[in-house]
Amino acid sequence: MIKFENVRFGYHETDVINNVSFNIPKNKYTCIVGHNGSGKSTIAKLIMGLENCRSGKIFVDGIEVNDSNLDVIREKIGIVFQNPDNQFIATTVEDDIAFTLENACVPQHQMQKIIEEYATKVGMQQYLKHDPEKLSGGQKQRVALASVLVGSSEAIIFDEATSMLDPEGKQEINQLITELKHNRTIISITHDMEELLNADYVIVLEKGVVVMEGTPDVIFSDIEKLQQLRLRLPFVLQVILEAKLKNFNVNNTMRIEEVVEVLCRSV
Amino acid sequence: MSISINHVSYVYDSETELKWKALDDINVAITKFKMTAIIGKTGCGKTTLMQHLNALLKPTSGEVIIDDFVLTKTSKHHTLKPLRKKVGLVFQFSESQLFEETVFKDIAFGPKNYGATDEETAIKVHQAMQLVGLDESYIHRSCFQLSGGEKRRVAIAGILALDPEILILDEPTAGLDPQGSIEMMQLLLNLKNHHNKTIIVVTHDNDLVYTYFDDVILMDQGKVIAQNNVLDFFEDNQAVVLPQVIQFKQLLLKKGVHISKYARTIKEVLEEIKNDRIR
Amino acid sequence: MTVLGKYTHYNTLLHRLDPRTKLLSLIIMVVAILATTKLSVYLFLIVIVFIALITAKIFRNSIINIYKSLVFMGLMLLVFNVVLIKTGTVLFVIGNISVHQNAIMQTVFVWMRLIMLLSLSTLLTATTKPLDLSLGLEKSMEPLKKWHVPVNEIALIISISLRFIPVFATEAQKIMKAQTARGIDFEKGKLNEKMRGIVALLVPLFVSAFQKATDLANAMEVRGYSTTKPRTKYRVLKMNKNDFAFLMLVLLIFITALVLQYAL
Repeated sequence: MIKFENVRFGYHETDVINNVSFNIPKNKYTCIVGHNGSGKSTIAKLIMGLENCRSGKIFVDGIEVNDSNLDVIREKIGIVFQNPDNQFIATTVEDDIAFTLENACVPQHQMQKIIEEYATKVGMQQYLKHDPEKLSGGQKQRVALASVLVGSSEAIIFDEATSMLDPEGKQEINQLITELKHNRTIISITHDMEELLNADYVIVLEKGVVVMEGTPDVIFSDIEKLQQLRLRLPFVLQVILEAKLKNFNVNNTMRIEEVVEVLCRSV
Repeated sequence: MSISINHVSYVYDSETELKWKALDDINVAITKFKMTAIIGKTGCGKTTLMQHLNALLKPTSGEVIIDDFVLTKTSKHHTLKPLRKKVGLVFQFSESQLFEETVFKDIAFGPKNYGATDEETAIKVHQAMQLVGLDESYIHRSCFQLSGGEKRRVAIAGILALDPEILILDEPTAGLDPQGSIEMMQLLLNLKNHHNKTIIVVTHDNDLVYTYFDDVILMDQGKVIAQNNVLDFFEDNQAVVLPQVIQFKQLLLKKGVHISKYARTIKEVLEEIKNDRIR
Repeated sequence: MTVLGKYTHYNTLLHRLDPRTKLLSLIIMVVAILATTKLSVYLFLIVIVFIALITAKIFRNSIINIYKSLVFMGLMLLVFNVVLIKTGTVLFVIGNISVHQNAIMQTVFVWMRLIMLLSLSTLLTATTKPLDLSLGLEKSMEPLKKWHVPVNEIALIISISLRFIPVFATEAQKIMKAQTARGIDFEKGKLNEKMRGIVALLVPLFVSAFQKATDLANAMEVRGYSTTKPRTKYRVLKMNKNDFAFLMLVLLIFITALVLQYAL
């Protein structure tokens, strides 16, 4: 779906993204992880054409991203940004969703129905007339998601979309991501390592370079490297690691229940 | 010498139709020289409560007692400033309060406001930077060119430079990556253990609470609904989102393996299992 | 501190009117107020204004506070006028200052004008949602497009500003509290302390404003907004018979005022 070929990008002399190549599979759930400052959010901006790369090429569905075809790209891919307050454009929920439709020149008489449909998809149909100040962070992000879905259906990027939310808000958004996964490309830029367990594909960035890439199985088979990168392991892997140190006979797995099973049998 | 909150209520916009009771008859005592977490859903009143502890808000009724200082509705304005020095408050996304050109100047802002001389200020700034783990090379750097985590350290140093006895932080780990969160917690732990600070933190992250804190206060809809030491608090399953270690212990229990409440890290849990096996 | 009334939701006739009707009525009433000078006309108009305030259910604390703030201004004005205006009959003498009739009348007129103008604009903003107001402005300014005035962009800027006013107010409050925690006394500090405080407030506020502006621009762009492309509109305004009836009523008031002023 999205392909980077030797992409370089930087703000001043230094490169934020240094000769990066990868391939994000279509209709899969891909996580891009790394520490703050690893360049992972820049990747999102490059895909959306909000920044232009210095060299290299970016393809979306076979189309090279450049200034002349941004409309096409943005019809395919939408993005939910990190800060819930800074992407709410209108003064009510319905007007915010309508903003995308207005830009796409959807005829006025069709808008109402579409707005209701998408508000329902994110569970915000009760709040159409509400103003953003009265919504929680999670609700604002749900509106942002509806506003994005309504215009770009093929792929959605979540750029640390849950990092400013409370646990309830996080749960709401993660729940929605699971519902949207089918027949859609989901790209989640995150530092939540637990989220990786549910992903189909993982790209690990460090200082603007892709250091690991593959399915979660492949990524988590190299625990040493993850530790070198000072990435926190998902809880289940921390348990396995610790258990091995204590000579418990556990196998690598991503299901905590299996580990518990082994531990209990050993008592 | 103590921190206690007696029958405190706080009403926002009390003069208008929008009035809304954010705190409802709160009674709480916080133990000094410990790390206390205030947890609860967004809008439960924890941020409002926190602002009472250094008199940014005055209670609509009731009193806040910090050592020999009593804060009530009628407390005189000029008496509040010394309290604000004694109780340092670090806001959520505190990096957004930075405004000076250099790290040094920004940290020096607080001490200067309290009338410290240049020499005193310089000493305090250096001490504060050391406490938050910023080395000398940062002194003349611009605040606006630092990373998010570094900016937050500068903001915390800006409060520590006032040399508060009590340090309150609102969501100090929000927006940090896991590594950054752990470093933040270690910083607070160090302040408590080696510098005799009382630490009070408002947070959503129950994993961090379970691993690093001593006491927990749970709030809901403007009331305190539970207060206990960390071990008993989570053992009683009072939190909405349970820490992962507790969930792990519960899974073990379902399979008939009981782990004592004292084991609160993976290592400690596994150690208990191992000891069971040997026995 | 709100000079103009904040929108408060009630279901009154004035709340239901088309924003264009209200804008036009406001203009007509303002012209009526500025074009007349007789006390009788003013009494007539002020009664109309109060009736409107009461029907719109906004004759409450907020507007009374606005009047209170006008009392002080009125007193200042009175002092100036008494000293400066020496025409008309002498009403009485205090010490060696004579108080002339015109000084009093002039003050009363200016004061009544202010009350009416403020009440009317409050009436507009308190009964019209910000969004409808900017939409009404946009539609009313439509003819200006002929002269290449970017009417739609101006309207969008107005509605985004309205959206972010409360956000910045909250942000400013939060930063003030944060700097108070660092020892600034915004309320009762010395002048130089307050100055330092203002710098410590404004710099972070600007930084956050730039951040918000960048984020918002990105969000708008990725959702397909462009000033060069045509757009459709979700909200359409419709005038109905109530609007026309209301406009007729306003015109009737306008004519009555002029008749009272010039014909009688």
